[in-house]
Amino acid sequence: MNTATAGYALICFDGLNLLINQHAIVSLENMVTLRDGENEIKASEIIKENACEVHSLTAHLGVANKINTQCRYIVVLQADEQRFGITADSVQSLLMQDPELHYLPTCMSISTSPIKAYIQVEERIAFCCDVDALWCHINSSESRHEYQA
Amino acid sequence: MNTRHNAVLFEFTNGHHAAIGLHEVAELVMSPKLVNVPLAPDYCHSLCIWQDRAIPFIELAPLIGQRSLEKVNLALVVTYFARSNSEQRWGALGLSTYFRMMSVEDDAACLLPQDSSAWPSIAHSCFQLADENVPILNLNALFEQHLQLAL
Repeated sequence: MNTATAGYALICFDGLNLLINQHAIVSLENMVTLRDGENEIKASEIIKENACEVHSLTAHLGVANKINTQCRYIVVLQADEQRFGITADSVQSLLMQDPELHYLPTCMSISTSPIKAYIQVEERIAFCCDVDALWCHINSSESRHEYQA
Repeated sequence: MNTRHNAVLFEFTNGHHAAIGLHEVAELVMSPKLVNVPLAPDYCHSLCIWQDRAIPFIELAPLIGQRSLEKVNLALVVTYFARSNSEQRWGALGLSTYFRMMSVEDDAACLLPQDSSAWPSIAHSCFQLADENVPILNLNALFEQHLQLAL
């Protein structure tokens, strides 16, 4: 699959690199915008001017039971009918010119997964993530294990 | 190399062996570079970076209901031709120890092991080696379909 990925952002958390269409990004907030500055922040906090749920995801795309306050940013994303935030260590525009997108091999592809493809930059892999499917996944029972952020 | 060698035998978990054709071996990689793929099945949880390619990495043990290797030190890079379009492709198999080459004759053919319902989906055939029935893997079937884990 050769597709220009101009307009994609590279979002990194817990060692995972996600490629997300920049059109799906509503805003980028600093972690300090969370209302509660205490350590015990629940996984459904509110951002002051963009009311939405915020979640911390693990490298396996599990939903952590607490917000990872070590992350520097909250990326607010727009799914079909829902706005939500995920915490991230770093966010950057993808600067590559026409990188090659590869579909996941058939043996590791799951129809309900938000991950369908990846790009390779030397030994670094970034997974293309569909925001609508990510929101469905976050609300699915499979994502709700007791992960520690 | 013995010119009569036609197969590679490897242990994929303690006491369990499988084989592939010698012509399907590309390289044995020590300490492979693996990248976890979120939400991928347990038996193929990672991509292996090999010669600037990202190729699927498969562990047979969880696929047939055995314990996964605690630490993967070796990856056997294999090549096959996809049945769908005859394109050459590569994949990697997790090994617990080094493989060995051997000669397999037709008169050693036997039934597939009965320890997993997955074997008929991923093995061409099987041969007897001492007390063990050793499946010969169908790499196209292993890498080109989404398999259900044995329970």
